[in-house]
Amino acid sequence: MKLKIREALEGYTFSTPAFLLLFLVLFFPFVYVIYISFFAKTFGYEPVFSGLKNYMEIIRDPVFKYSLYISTLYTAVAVTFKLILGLAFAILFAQEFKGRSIVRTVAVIPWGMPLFVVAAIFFWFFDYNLGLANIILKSILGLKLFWLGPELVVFSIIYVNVWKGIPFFMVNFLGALQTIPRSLYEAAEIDGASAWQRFRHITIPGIKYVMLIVCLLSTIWTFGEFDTIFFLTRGGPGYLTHILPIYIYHQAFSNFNIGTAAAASVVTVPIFLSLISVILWALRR
Amino acid sequence: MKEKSMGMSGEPKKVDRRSFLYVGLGAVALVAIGAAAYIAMNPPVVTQTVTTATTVPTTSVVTTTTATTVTTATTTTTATTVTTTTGVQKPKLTVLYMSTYAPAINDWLTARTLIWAAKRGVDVEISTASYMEIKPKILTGVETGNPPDLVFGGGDLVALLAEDPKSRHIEPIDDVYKELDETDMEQKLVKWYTIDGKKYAIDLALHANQVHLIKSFVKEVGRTPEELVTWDDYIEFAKEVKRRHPDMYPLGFTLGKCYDGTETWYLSWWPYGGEMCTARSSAAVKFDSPESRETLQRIVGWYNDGLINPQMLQADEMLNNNAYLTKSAAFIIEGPTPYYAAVTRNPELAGDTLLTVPPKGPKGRFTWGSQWPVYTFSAAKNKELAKDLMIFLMKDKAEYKKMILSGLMAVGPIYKSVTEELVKDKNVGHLYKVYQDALPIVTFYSYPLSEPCSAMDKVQANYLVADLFSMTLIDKKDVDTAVRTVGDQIKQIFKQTYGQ
Repeated sequence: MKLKIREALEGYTFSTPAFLLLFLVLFFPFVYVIYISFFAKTFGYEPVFSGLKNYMEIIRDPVFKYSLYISTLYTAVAVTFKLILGLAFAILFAQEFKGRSIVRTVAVIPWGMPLFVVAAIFFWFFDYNLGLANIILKSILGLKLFWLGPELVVFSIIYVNVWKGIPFFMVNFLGALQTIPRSLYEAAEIDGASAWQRFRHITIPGIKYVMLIVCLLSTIWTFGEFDTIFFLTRGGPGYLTHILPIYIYHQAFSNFNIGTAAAASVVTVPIFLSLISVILWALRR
Repeated sequence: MKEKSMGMSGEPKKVDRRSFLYVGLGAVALVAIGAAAYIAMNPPVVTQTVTTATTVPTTSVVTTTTATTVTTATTTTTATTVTTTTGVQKPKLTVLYMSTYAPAINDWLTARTLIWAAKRGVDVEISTASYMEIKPKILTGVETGNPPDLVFGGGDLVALLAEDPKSRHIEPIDDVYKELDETDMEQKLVKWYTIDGKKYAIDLALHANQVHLIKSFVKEVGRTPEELVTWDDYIEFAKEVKRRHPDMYPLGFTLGKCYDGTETWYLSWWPYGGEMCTARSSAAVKFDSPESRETLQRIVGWYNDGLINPQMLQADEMLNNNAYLTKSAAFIIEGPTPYYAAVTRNPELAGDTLLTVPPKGPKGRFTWGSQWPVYTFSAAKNKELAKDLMIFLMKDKAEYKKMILSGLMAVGPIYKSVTEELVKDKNVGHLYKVYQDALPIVTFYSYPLSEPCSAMDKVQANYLVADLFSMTLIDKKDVDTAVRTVGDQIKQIFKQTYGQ
């Protein structure tokens, strides 16, 4: 009995610092955001309790509704393209060819670049007058496009995200592909399976768990992305690329409504929680 | 027996006494290291009062608070006696400077700050932040009760942080003004920082917008710059340029939800009778007016006529600068930092540029004045030192003039006498004459109130008037709806700020 108490005491002693750290770093800010979302609060002023007013405000705000819509669209399209292209590149780079290791290394570079650098590169790439995109277009087709203008801006930010994100998918898929026994493909080939059948019945089942986890992680990251879009468009033109993190930033630092910004953050929590639950569920399986 | 945990071998894993002891000792060692580091960074101050008769031409009250003593020295003569507290630890001034589009001005500011620090025997930590970054940094500092000692920038936060008597975060600096030659200052600028009879900030310099007119385009359409006086003249000129260069967008006007987008609005609105508010009250908001509708209709017309590049709808302050620097616009209206860029990087373009006051409308001529304020906070640890630094930066007019000149017209002085001197200069006098001419028409965003107004700080910080462009040009709403919507939002902000 004494031993059990001592063991328990030891356990608590060792785990307490970790719990304290977790509480301070993760749990406390989270609880504080929930707390402040029920207050009218601006910088330098004492918070005043306002109940659900902040939540009502953001629910009524058409910009918030649009932000939810554009964040979902941006995430869905970007992740889909990253999945398809990442898989295509992984299959391509899994083949034997001369200079494969160099090509693989080069292909990973976008993933290693800091977001700010990526944003700076594409800021100039998309510039109407000086950008490389228009220089190439003009020399081939004789036209220039407003890449960050109202018609194309959503496409452009998705393009940047896909460009940066493909290597993450590709590297993970490459790793997963190497775990599929070669003999399965050989046996299928002997049985007369077509390339599509081999892909559908051997490759996809062989990498499906990696695929699921990679997609979900990428969905979480893409949904919460701020830096690149803020640097490229600041949420504009107008509100066209006002994704949720930019909406929250503007509530805090342009409208000076910390309470509303907190409420908008809290509203996004269930979305992230459900995504995390799916990942955990997939991992358990 | 239920196993608590299993080791690699499958045996129940216990923490033995020795491990327990090691971990405990490790924790104690960590605490000791932490305490040692803290003490090393914040050593007990050995206060040694040194009285030195310096020749620094300044009078000031320097109060240095240490853990044990408060040493105050008040001086009243120009040959000052400054009592400084020295010892193991020097006071450390934290300053936050906005990085301007004229790097030479930032270089001057940094150099003078370091000279001041060396003279006063204090440490100084200089941080810089872009126009976009500085506001969140200031606001976070205020919110956490740990603001920088001195700030340069964040002009549209001064009223917001100083107007409400219940929540006044900016320290009044009337004592700084007393040390400086206030009568020589542009009174319009002094008024802009005066709230309830106290002054809360001082402009380092004034960034007054001017037309950057590319003379070769004027010549090409067979005109002379002197012929361009009114808004109608300029628009007609732009249309002629467009006829000759169909691929070009002659008006380099930003329409995005950003600072320059708001400038486009105000500069095209004031000359046609546009007014924001006459008092600090929602009833005094004048935005929703026929003048606003006419102005918006005019700008929509320019856009639809292909005079403004659709790229200008992006929220980016550099777009109009780049349009001028790449000669893809015939003219822009901006504080002369693009001209500074041309002088330093493209002298040919600078030579082909005429700087002049903005066009005239039926209600007269107006130009935009950007605030470049310096201020300190009530909660700042070294606010008296910060004030001393302000005096050091602003008092020596010869040095101050060097800063203005280093900016190559990017900014103008706040001292009338320095402007006079610059106007008389053989080499650059003609340029500063334009600045002198612009001074009387410099207007602020709370016009015609033209006083600090925290509700207008909120309207400006949110670039609300630039929403007019996205509503009409992107969302395709009609002009009436756009003006009414933005007008309602402005009234709402005034109501929230000043009550019903």
